[in-house]
Amino acid sequence: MVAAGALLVAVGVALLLSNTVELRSDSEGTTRSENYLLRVVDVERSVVDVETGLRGYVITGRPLFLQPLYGARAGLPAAERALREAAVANHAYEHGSDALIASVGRYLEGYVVPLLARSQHDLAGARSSAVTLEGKRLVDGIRDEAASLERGLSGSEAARQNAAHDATDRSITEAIVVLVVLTLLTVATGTLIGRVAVEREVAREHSDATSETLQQSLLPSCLPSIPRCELAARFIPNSGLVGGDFYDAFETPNGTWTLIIGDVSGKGAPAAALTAMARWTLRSLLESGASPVEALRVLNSTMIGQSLERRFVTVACMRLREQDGRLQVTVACAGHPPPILVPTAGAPHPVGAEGTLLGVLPAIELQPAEVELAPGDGIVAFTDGITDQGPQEGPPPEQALAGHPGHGNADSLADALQRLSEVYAGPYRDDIAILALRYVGALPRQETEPAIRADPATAVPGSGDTPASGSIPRV
Amino acid sequence: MSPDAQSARTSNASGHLGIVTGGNGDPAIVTLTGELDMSAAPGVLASLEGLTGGSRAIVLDIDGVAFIDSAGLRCILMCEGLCRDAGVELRLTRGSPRVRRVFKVAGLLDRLPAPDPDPAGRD
Repeated sequence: MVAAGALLVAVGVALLLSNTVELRSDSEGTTRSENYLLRVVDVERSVVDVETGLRGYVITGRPLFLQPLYGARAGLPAAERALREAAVANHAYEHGSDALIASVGRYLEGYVVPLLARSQHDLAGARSSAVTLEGKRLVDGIRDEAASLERGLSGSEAARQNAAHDATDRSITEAIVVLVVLTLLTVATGTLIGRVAVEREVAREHSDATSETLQQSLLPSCLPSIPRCELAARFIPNSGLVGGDFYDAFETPNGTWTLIIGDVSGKGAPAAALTAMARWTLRSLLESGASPVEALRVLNSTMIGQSLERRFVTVACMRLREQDGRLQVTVACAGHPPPILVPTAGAPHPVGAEGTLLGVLPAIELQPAEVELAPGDGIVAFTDGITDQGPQEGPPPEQALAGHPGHGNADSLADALQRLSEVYAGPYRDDIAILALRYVGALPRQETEPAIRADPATAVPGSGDTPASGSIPRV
Repeated sequence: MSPDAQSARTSNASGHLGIVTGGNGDPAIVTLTGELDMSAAPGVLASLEGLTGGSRAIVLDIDGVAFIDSAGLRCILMCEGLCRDAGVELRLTRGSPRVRRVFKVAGLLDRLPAPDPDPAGRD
C-alpha cells in the first residue's frame, strides 16, 4: 500500500515536472518569437523612415529630411542581419524573412538610390506623381509582407499560449491528485513539490517579463527635460497582452516641443507592430516640422489601404511653444479623449479639440484647439483605460483633477488621474497611459509650494510612480 | 432562415454580451445587450455573417449595450465592413448616452441616428 502510494507520488511529481519543463520551453519560444517580431518591426520602421524622408525631401527640397533617410538607410543592414539571425533561431520564418529582405533590397537599389540621384539634378522630375506612387507601391508591398509575417507569428503565438494554458490546466488536476496522496503518505516529498511550484512561478514570470520588454520598446526610454516645464508619465499594463497604448515627448523645430499619446485598438503582436508604426511615423513627421494636424492626416492616409482588419489608432497630439512667459499649446485629437486643462484659477476642463479616429476612413475631420498655459497651469492627456474599464462609471476625469490646480506638480496630476481608474474593482481590461505636463514658467520661488520641484532639471519624470500600483517608473 | 429569434450569449472577461437575431428578412434585426468589448467581436460578426445572405438590410440594435470600449467600437466598424462587402445596408440604433459619448470621442457620431427630439425620448 505504501509502495503503491510512493509510486503514485513519483508519477505525479514526474507529470508536474514535465509540465513545468513544457511551460518553460513555451516561455523561451515566446521570447524567441517576440524578438523576431521586434526585428520585423525594426526593418519595417526603417523602410517607412527611408520613404518618409525621401518623400519629404523630394516634395520640399529641404535637406533636413535627408537626415532621417540616411540614418534609417545606414541602420538597415544591421536590422536585416538581426532579422536573419532571429529567423534562424525561429526556423519557421526564414523563407518569409529572406523574401522581405529581398524586397527591401529591390526598394533601396531600384527606387531610393536612383531617385536620390535624379533629385540632385532634377528635383521637379523626381517629384512627379508617377515616381512617388511607385514608392508607395513598393513600400506597401514590403509592409504587406511584414504584416503577413507578423500575422503568422501571432497565429502561432496564440497556439503556443493555448498549449501553455492546457499544460497549466493539466498540471492543476494532476497537482490535486498528487497533493491528496501526499497528505496521506509523507511530508518529506512536500519540499520537492514546493520547489517545482517555485520553478513554475519563475517560468511564468519570465514570460511576463518578455511581454513587458516588448511593451517598453513602444515607449520612450526616458522623458526629455522641457525647459520651465514638469513632465510626468504613467503606463500601467493591465490586460496582460502587449500592444495598445503609447506616448512620446520630443523636441520639434523652432524651439517647440511635442507630446503624443495614443491607443491602438486590439492587442498582441499585430497591435504592437501598428503601435510602433504609429509612434515612429508621427515622431518623424513632427520632428520634420509637420503640424499636429498634418502629422495625424499623413498617419491616417498611411494606414488606409493596409489590411489592418479595422484596427484603428486614436491620438492626442500637443505642440508646445513658449511665448512671453506663457505656454501656447496646439492640441489635435483624432478619436481620442481630449486632454484636460488644469488652470491655477478655475475648474479643470477638457480642451475643445475633437476629430475622427485614424486608419479606417479615407476622409477625416480634425478640429484642433489652441490653449494658453500661465505659469502653474497644467494639461493632462490620457488613454481611455482611465474611464472605460467596465460598465461601472466613475466621475469624469476633469472632476478627478479638481482640487489640484496650483498645488500639485505634474506627478501629482498624473497620480490624481490614475486614482480615477481605481473605481473599477478589476480585473482591468485595458492598459492605462497618462502624460501630465505642468508649465512652471518663471514663477518667483516664494510663490511656489515647498513641495514643487520648480527646477526642471530635478523634475525627474515618472519618479513618483508607485510600484505597488503596478506602474513602471521610467527615469 | 428560421423566422424564430435565435440568441447567443458570449462570455467576456467580466461581463456578458447577449446577441439575439430576429426580424423576418428585411430588415433583419440583431439586438446586442450587455457589454461590447474585446471578446464580443467573433460572436457578433458570426451572427451578422449568417444574415447577410438573406437580407438587404440589417439593423444592429445597440440600445441595450451598457458599455462599449475601443475594442467594441472596432467590432462595429468590422460589422460595417462585412456588410459593405456583402452589399447589405447596416443601420445602427441611437444607443445609450454612454455609448453615444464613445462614438463622439471617436469622431463617429454621424454613424448613429440623431437623438429623438422628443424630450420624453429614451435618450
